[in-house]
Amino acid sequence: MKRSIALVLALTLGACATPPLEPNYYLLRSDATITSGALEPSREFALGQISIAPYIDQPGLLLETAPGEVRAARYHLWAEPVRDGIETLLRQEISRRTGENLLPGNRDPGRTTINVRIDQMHGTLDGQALLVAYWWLSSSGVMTSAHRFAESLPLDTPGYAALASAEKALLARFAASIGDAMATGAEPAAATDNP
Amino acid sequence: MSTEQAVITQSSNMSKVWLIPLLALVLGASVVIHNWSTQGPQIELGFTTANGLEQGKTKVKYRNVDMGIVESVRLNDDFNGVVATVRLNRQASPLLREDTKFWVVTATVGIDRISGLDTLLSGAYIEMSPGTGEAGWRKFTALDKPPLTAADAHGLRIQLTSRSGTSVGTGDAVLFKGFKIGQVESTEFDPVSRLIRHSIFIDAPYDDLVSTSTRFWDVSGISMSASAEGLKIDTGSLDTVFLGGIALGNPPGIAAGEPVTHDAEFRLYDSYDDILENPYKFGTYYVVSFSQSVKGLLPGAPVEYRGIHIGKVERILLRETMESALAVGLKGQASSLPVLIYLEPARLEMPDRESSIQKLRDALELGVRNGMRASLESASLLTGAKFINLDYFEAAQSASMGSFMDYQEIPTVETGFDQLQQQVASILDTLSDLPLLETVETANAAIASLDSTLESLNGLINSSSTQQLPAEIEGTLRELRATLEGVAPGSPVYQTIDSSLLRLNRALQNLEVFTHTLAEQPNAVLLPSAPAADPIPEAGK
Repeated sequence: MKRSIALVLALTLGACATPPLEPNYYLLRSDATITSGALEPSREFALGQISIAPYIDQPGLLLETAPGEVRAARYHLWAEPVRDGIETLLRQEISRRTGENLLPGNRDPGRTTINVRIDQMHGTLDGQALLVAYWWLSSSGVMTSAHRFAESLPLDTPGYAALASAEKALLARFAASIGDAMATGAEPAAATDNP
Repeated sequence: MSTEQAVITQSSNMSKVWLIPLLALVLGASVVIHNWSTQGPQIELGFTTANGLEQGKTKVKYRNVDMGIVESVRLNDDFNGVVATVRLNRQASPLLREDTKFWVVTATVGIDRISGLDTLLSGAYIEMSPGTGEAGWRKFTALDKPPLTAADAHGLRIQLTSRSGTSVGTGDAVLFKGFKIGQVESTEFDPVSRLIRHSIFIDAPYDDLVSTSTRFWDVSGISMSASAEGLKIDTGSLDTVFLGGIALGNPPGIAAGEPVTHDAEFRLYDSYDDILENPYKFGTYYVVSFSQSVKGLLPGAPVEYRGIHIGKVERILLRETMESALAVGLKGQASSLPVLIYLEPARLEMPDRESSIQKLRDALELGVRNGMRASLESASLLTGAKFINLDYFEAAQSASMGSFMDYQEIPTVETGFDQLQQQVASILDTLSDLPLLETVETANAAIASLDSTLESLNGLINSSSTQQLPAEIEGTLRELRATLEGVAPGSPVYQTIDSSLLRLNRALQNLEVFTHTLAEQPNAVLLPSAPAADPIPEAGK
C-alpha cells in the first residue's frame, strides 16, 4: 500500500516536472510607417460590415492538414480576436492605398460603404497561405458593385510565423485590390496621413 | 308572052308591136335589178305606241338622209307594244349595230327646247343613231325620247350621287365657268342606297377638265343670302335658273388630280359653299366613345389634332349603342356613347387620294400606341359647344385601336373642364356622404371631455411636485449620460470588459481542449502525457 502511494506521488510530481509549451501570439497590423498628425475622415467612403467565416473566428492559426480537414494551432495564436485584427489591417491598408481615411466610428449613412466577407483564411501543410474573400460597395442599402478576391502565397520559411506573415501579406493585397477598384470607380480624396 | 313570076319572100311574122312588151320587160328587169342592188336589210323596231308611224310612208333617216321606210306596223305578240318592219337601203347595213338607237322624231315644244317643227309638214320620221357595238343586228327597241348624247359622241360619262333632293333633271346643262360643256343624261333614285344618281356626259374636248380633284355642285335656280356685306345672289346660266344645272370646277387651293375614266363616281354637292366646307374627296370614319356627357357636341363639330382641323363629327351612334346594349343585355347600365367622326387626310397635307386614307390609318394606329387619345373639349364656355381633340398624353399607356361595329375606335381620355367638373362632383358626393352631424356631436362631446381633462392637467402641472419634476428628470438624465459614458467604447470599463471577454474566450478554448483531452485520456490529470505539438507547415515552393 505504501509502495502504491509512493508511486502515484512520484508520477504526479514527474508530471508537474514536464515543462509546458509556451504559446506564440501573432498580430495583424500594417507594415506601413505610421506618423502622427490630424486625420480628415473620408466624406465619400466608410468601412462597413466585416464578416468572417465561423471556422476562422478562433484564436489559433488554422492549418489544412488534409483536404477538407482543418486544425487550429494550440500554441500559435492570434494576439486579438481575428475579426478585430482583420478589420484594423484592412482599414489601415485601404486608407493608405486610397488616401481616404476610413476611421472607426465614422458611420455617416450618406457615404458609400465597403463591406467585406472573409470566406477562407488558412495555411496548408505544403507551405501555402490561402485567402478567399468578397467585397462589395453599397449606397443607401443598395449594392452597387461586388468583387471577389482569391489568392495564395507560399511561406518563406517553415512555421507559423511565416504563415501569419503570409496571411498578413494576403490581406494587404486584398486591401490593395479594394483600394484600386475604389480609385478607378470613384474620385479619390486628397492624400492624407495613414491612420 | 312572058309571064312574070311573082317572087315570094317570106316576110317576118313578128309584129313590131311586140317591141313594146319587150321594152317593158327590159325596163322591169332593170328596175328589179336596181331594186335588188339598192335594197338593204329588213329590220324590226319595237315601239311603245305606233304614234307617228305610217305604213309605207314613215321614213328612217340618219343625219337627214333617207335610209329606209316603214313597210308594216303591227302589234307585238304580247300586245303591249308595236313592231314596225322597216326596209333599209344597202347603205344602212353597216350602221346596224348592237347599240344603234332608233326613236320617232315629232314636233316638240317645251320649256327647254322646241324641235322637230319640220315634221309638222313632212310627217314624223324615225331617226337612227348608229352605235359602235357588234354589227349585224336586225331587231331593236326604239327609244321613247331622243337620246341626249349620240352613241358615237366623244366625251366622258360621269356618275354623280346626291344625298338630298335637287332640281337637276334629265337634259339639264353641265357648266364650267358658266359655259355649257355637257348635259345630264339621266336622273334616278336608288331605293337601296337612298341616293339620287345622275348620269352626265361631258363633251370632248372639255372632258379633260374633269380629274379626281373636280367637284360638282348644283347651280339650279337662284341662291340668295343676306349678310352684313349685303344681299348676295348666285345663279348659273339663264337656262339653269329655270331648268336647273350642274357646275364643276376645282376647289380653291387644290390642284388638278389624276384623269378619270368613264362612269367614275363623284358626289353632287348642294352648293358651292358646301364644297368650300367639304373641299376634300377622300376621308375615313372612326369612332370615339365618351363616358362623360356629350352635350354640346353637334354633327359637323370640328375634329382637331393639336388645333389643326382634320375632320368633323358625323353623328352620335345612339341607336347603334342601344341596339348593342340590348343585344348583350346591358339594361339600365351606363355605357359610353360612341361618336362617329370623319377624318380627311388632305387636311394633314396628304394628297387627296384614296391611298392617303391608309397612310392616315397607319399614322393613327402608331399614334395610339404612343399615347394618342381623343378628348372632348369645350369650344366655347358661353355656347357650350364642344369639339373633339386628338393629342398625345404622357400618362396614357400604350394601347391599340378598338372597334365598334365596322369602325375602328380611337381610345379616349377625359380632360379639361368636364374632368374638373366630374372631380368636383365626386368630391361633393363624398362630402355629402360623410356623417357630418354625428361627427360634430361626437366632436362636441370630445371637446367637453377634453376641457375637463385640461382642467385636471392644468391642476397637475401647477402642483409643486410637478414643477420640480423637470429638474429631477434633467438630473437623472445627466447621471444616466455620465454612467453610459463610463461604459462607452474606449472607456476604461469598456476596455476592461473587452479584455475580460477575450481572456474568458481563451479560457473557454483551453477548457474545450482540456475536456477533449479528458475524453480521450481520462487519466490525463494523473498521468499527463507530453503535450502534442502543433503540426508545422512547410516552407512554400
